[in-house]
Amino acid sequence: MRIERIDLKNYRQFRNVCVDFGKSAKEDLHVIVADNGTGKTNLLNAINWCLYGNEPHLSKDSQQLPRLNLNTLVQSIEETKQTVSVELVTETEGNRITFKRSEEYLVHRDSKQPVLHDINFTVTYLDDKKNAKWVIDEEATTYVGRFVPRDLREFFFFDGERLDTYFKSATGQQISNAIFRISQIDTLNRISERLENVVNDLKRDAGRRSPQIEEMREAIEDKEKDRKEILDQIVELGAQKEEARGNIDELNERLRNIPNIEALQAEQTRLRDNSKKKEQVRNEKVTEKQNMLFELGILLKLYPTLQESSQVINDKVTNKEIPQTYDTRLLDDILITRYCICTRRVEEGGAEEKHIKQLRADITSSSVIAKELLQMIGPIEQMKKKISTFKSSLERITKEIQLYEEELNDINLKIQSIDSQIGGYNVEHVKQWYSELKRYQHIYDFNIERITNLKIARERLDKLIADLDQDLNKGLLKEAAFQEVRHQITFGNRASGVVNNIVKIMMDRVRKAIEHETRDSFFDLVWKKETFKDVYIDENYALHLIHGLGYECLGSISASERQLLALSFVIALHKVSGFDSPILVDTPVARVSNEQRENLGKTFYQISRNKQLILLFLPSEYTLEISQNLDVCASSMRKLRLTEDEREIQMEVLR
Amino acid sequence: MPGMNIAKQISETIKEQAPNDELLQEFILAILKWESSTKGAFQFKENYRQMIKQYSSKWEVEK
Repeated sequence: MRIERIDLKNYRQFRNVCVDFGKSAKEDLHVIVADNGTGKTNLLNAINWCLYGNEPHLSKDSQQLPRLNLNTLVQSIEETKQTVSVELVTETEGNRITFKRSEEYLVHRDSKQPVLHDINFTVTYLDDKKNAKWVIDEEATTYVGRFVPRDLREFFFFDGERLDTYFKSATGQQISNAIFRISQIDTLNRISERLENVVNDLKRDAGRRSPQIEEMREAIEDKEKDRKEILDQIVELGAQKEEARGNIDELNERLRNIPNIEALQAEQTRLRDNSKKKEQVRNEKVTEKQNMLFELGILLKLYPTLQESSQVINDKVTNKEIPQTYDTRLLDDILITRYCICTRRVEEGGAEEKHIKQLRADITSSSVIAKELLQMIGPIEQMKKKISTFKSSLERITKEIQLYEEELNDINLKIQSIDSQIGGYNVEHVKQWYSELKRYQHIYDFNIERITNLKIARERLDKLIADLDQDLNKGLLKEAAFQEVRHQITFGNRASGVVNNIVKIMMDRVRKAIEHETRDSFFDLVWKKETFKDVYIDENYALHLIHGLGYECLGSISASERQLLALSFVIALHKVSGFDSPILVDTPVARVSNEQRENLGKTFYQISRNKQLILLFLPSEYTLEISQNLDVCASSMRKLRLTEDEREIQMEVLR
Repeated sequence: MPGMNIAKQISETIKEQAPNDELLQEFILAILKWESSTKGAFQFKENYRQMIKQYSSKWEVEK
């Protein structure tokens, strides 16, 4: 279906406006640009009102105003009848179908509020013989359902904000609802429920005639109640599980680029400990260097003395003054024997003895000094050596200190780097997110386990109910009077079983078909061909977008990519449902950055080659990035503006 | 006719799920048609009972 024309008369600010959506050769793209409050959203409301009789996008201000155009209202001088009407001329598979809704009001001169007098809804079409036919009111409403079912309208006419948030949260629920609606699952579920209801009535009728049958029926009814409770619990737990999964996805997305703060903090603690140890060693080295400088300072002061002493001793050694070679044994012999080598007697206490003893003492004293001088050579040389190796020792310890400084610097840089990695985040929040992630994961796993157990319990009950049904069947068989009702119960049960199976199969088939079409559309339209690898809808109806590197990326894509995905999903719904209607988007790029608008502009152009696309832009949205793509290919372009009294809209046709 | 894809799929699935049982297939399609064409909130019991009676009278259990 495509919209050929919308004719608005006295509908809110549209006093008499006709918007023609003629198609150019290839593209079916229509652009309307208008400021806020200048009729864009009311055009969306007009379509909804015409088809379904309500205005879902009405602003609070408009809710207070009558539907009848204000100028028509105030300019009605006498008591008169005024009509509001919206006519939607559509074309479906070559047939023109016109939907027209009108309201007739009685307008009183002194009353600000018009009084609703009459409502009409008509659908006009051509029958197989090309004769004009029309249906009205309820029949007309049913007719609308064949083209754009009310339940599905949110997939045809929507605003850009909804498009942007489409897959931001509860995607499983959104997709499940969409599949539920387009698969007519609600109708099938209703049939199943009603069949069970009627079969139970049949059993109750039989029970009234036989206490035994009634007993069996009551037993079945009890078990069915148990089963119903289990099914309700499964649904509730499934919803909780889905909610937990949504939260897990959201938290994972939130934590995707956030470093593992706990691990980094542990690393930081280890580095700080290491830094303390290195700092301690570095300080010891600095002290060692200071001591060395102190000691060498003293030695340097003593150096001339040391040098001189060394010279004196060495000279003495060279001159063989030391070590001394006096042999005191001769003097000792003289003192013992009392005779000199010249045979002269040495008297005890005599002058000779005193002289020899003095000589002996002098020789001993001189030897000790010479010995001490010789002993000094070693330390003096050591000290001299120390002075000579001072430079290299100082260089060594300075280098060691430098190395420790460098290591400490590296460690500090690492600590600072971790600080900067953690610094941008609220550490407590991140820890809380990790804790929440753990909690939701627990809920998710726990609910899976509980659902599995409940499903096992349900299967047991199914078997028990089937056995009890069989007993009831046998009971009914015993009496000829129950034969007919037994047959009806069996038939009803069989039909109910088949319908239940159809529900499961349809949900699965439609899910797979939508998945296939969404994938096809997305990869056909997406501008980053290599960035994404896959799109799929899992068994819980959650949509997954897989990055080329294999990770889930639905939460981290840009607004334009999100809108593209939502459009692909909507196109898929149209194809699978067979309701191939136009897409009308109010403020389609208001949430998209300028850089991305160009890509989305190209996407709109591509979509319009296969489907009617009506885009309602704000002037601020219709930037160069958009206009350079759409100006060329748009089949029609219009600008809406308010009259000076702000009660009417004037339409300027740009193309 | 728009929306026929799903109706066609449902019809095919009914045939798959109740093979060789045309009567049951017809019954489910008739109920589906009735549910799609009218809200039937208040008359459903009477209608369902009547249809079950009508279709089951010609139906053989063995199928």
